[in-house]
Amino acid sequence: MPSLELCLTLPEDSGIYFLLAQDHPLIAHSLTMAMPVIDPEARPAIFVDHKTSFTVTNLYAREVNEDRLALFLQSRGESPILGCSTTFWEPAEHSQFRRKEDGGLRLHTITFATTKKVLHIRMPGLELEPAAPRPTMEALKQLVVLNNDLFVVGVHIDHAAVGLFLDACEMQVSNFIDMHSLNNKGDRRALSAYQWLLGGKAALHTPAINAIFGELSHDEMVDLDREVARSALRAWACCIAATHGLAGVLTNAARIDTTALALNVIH
Amino acid sequence: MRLISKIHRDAASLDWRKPKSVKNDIANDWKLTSAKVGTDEYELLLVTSNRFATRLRKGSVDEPDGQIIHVEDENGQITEGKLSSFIYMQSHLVPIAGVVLKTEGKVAKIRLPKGSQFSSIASISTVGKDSLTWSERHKEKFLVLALEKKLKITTLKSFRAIWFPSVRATARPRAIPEGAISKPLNNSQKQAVLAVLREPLARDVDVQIIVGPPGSGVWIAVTLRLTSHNLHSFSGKTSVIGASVQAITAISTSEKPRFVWLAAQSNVAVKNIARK
Repeated sequence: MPSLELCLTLPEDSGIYFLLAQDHPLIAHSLTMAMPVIDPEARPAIFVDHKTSFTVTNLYAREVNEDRLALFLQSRGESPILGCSTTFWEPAEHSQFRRKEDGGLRLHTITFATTKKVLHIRMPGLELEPAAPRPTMEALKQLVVLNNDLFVVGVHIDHAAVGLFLDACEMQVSNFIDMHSLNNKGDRRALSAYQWLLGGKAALHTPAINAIFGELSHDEMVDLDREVARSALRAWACCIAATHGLAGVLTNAARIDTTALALNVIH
Repeated sequence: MRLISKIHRDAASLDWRKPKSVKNDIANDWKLTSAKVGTDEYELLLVTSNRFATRLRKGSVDEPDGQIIHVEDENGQITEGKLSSFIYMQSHLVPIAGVVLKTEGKVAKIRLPKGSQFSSIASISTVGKDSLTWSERHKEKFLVLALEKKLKITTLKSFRAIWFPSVRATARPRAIPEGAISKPLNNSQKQAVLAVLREPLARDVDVQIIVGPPGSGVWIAVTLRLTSHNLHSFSGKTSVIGASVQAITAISTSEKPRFVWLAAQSNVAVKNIARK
């Protein structure tokens, strides 16, 4: 099955992204998924020294298999670094998809990025009955999240680790690295912290960083499509920053390794 | 892992559900004046919040995710503009550029574009999610440390006392000192006070969580009389917190002094409890 591509455009006032569908045999499918791929001419400039240039593949969780992941991982070349970002959503108050045990918030998408490609994986949601079995994504486990040859880096990557555990059949991870832990100072959500982690103000187009990593305003917060578009840029930016500025410190960085945490044991 | 995930998700859910709009109760004595800093000219709106809990918070023209402010005005005479924080005419949805430059307690100085004029403000609403509290920030950091195995969270005594009360060793019960509390407690209040007074085993930590609906006398409207020292006398109902503090004070001696550490989510809450 071919990868699915849409394009992402940047409006004049920056920071707000709209999705434009390109001709594609699976366009209806893509619109349902509402995820972006990138029009090379329309991407926001994030780094001064690196053009925002990558392609995006969108997959449902059930579509994740070894071949597709291998194709994605090829694009990293010799680099062991993947960027990662997530989006979450919460079903409506009386929705059948709402769960009592965790307030209903759940993982919507998890995004992985190399310096050349971005892979969006959409978690099961409205298209599956709440009681229906969830795809276990064994290939994702073996090739990506439990692959200790890789460093999966991101900001707030703890949300990704917990999201996979709670919303993807208790999937565990062993190689996630929280970029904030590499600079354990100050407010983890401050824009200045993101700027530092991504290489410093001088290396960045800060309005784009603010738009991609900052909190969304009132009206934008309910727009999941926009959040998924931002997720692609976040994952890719983290990959670029880690590859070019943090590669030396990743080897000794603390990993989030949920396989080392007992599932249900009181020590 | 299940426990850490549960705590993590609960925190994320709470953050997700933070109100996106808070109505700020503003006093009628607002003032609009012209201001000039160098060549920068603007109008300065000075408002006082009636309630500390819903006071306006400082914004920044450099932070694009600053909170948005809506102004409700029957006349709808506010001009249009745009900055990181905004003031809207709620009835007409005509935004004017405004940012909270400075706050001093309940007083906020809001910058408006030069020429902004209006005759009345019915109310102001802050739109946008509030930032994390210190407590929430620390919880976030601790959970990451736990996931990175830098912190063995389940071995912390206080953590275990809260999350695994069933594995806590039985502590020695202690009676409420006779005459320490002026008004009688009901049965559930008495149970709660006894639990607070319970002597923990050596090197153990004992945490009691007392929960009750409004009006059940957990902490408000304290009536206590320090019979041993006669320092305070209040009128009203009995509360568990008040009775516990009273009882702890009563059993304190110079040889074995007892202390009460009071922590709350805000300075105002601490002050309210201390007063009672």
